[in-house]
Amino acid sequence: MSHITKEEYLSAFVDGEAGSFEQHRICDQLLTDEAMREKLSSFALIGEAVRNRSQDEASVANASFLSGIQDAIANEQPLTVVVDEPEILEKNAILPKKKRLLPKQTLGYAVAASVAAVAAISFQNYINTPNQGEQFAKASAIKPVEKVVSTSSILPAVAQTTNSKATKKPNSDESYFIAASFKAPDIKTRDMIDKYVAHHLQYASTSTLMPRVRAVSYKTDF
Amino acid sequence: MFKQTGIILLAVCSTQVFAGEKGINLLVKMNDALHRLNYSGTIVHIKGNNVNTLHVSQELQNGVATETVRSLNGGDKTVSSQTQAFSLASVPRSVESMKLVYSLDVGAMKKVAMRDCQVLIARPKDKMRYLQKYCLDKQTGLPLDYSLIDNNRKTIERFTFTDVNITLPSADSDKQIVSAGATEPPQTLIEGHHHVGNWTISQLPKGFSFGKVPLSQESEVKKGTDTEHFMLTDGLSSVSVFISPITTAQPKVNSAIKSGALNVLTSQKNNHRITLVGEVPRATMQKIFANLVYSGKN
Repeated sequence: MSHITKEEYLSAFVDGEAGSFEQHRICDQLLTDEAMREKLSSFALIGEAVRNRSQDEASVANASFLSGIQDAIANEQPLTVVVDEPEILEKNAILPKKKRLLPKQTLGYAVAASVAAVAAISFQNYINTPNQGEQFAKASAIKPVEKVVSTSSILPAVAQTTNSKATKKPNSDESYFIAASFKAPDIKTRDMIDKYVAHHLQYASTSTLMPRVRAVSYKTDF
Repeated sequence: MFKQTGIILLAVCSTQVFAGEKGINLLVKMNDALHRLNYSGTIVHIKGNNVNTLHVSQELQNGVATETVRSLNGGDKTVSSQTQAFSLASVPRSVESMKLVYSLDVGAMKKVAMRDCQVLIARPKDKMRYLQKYCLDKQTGLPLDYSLIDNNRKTIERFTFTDVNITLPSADSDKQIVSAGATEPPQTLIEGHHHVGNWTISQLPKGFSFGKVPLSQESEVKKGTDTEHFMLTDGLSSVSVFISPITTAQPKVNSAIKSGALNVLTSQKNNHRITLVGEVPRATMQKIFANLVYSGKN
């Protein structure tokens, strides 16, 4: 124990390496030994000076360290990613997943309502389907004659075309009417028609008052 | 559930049947009024853009009806008859056949010429005829307003009284009418038949049947020409068909005239001129023309 001096025990105490027995003994000596307290101050000052120098060196190294990292990033190889559908991936990446606006049940009701509406319209069309005569009237596409219609010749080719649009192929007489337009009656035909109209209004009408009125009105028309 | 549905259906059907029967009764009442009442008044007759104002009167004296219709739009346009004129109106109608093609709906009460009238609608069940709308005087059954409406729901002809005076004939005159009607028919009628001369109709439009033609009328039509005539009627509308041979070479020309609900169509077939006149759509006439079959020699 003789070869270990008081200074060595004090250095171990400052560095935290002395045992608890030695720490208590040194503390007791420091209370009574003035020279030993001066040694302790000198060792503490030396230790502080050494720690401050280490911090300065670390700060200088910090600047070079950052520049070194930047150089490393610059020299880094770019990362390659294999993408099958770039646009989809891009959209998926940009847009968040859309939230469903309507619940599935509502969509089901909408589809059912559409089907019902189409069925109702189809049924109406079926009910209102013009009968044969009406189809002929429409197929004839002759503008309703107010008094007299313009003239033209009979065009069988036109008749064929028009007939193909009708649901039932009309016979030759019907297609004749479809193709034919009507001409103003000549004077002789007109006299004959007037006579026939008079006969009809007198004998074939289903009431008495209206035919007489029609007869007078008919005269004022032409 | 089924029981309730059945009761509702039964109620609906009963209502429709009742309305149909009431409609028939109103039509009968209207015809009766037209034949048995004295009336005079002003009628406005509208056809498309044409408006005619006419003065009409009917007076029954000694069992004879004198009917006068005079245009108030100027000119000498008057029709007057003093005979027991024949018309299909005087022939009993086949109510059942009429029901096949029309549904009769009784509508609301209205006021025409300051008189209460009942709306009656004869609604066609197909498009071979026009819809007919009446407003019948509540008290007498005389038609105060009458419209014909086409398949496009457009009114093509309308008669309406602006003022009317209706009186019952004297008791003596009424007795004479009843007596005349009960003892002797006004005309000798020819029963309806399916062929005229060499002509037949292969298929009649639905609801139409051959009407009876008075013998005197048939001879009048034939006078001077060899013209055949027959009538088709569905009870409310009628079509006359006139057929005459073409003796001279003529170009094949079709003529058509329309005057309100009245359509006239003239065409040729098997060297005959055929003229159709009636208050039906032209398509119906074309159908009749197409079904005319000639069995003679050309």
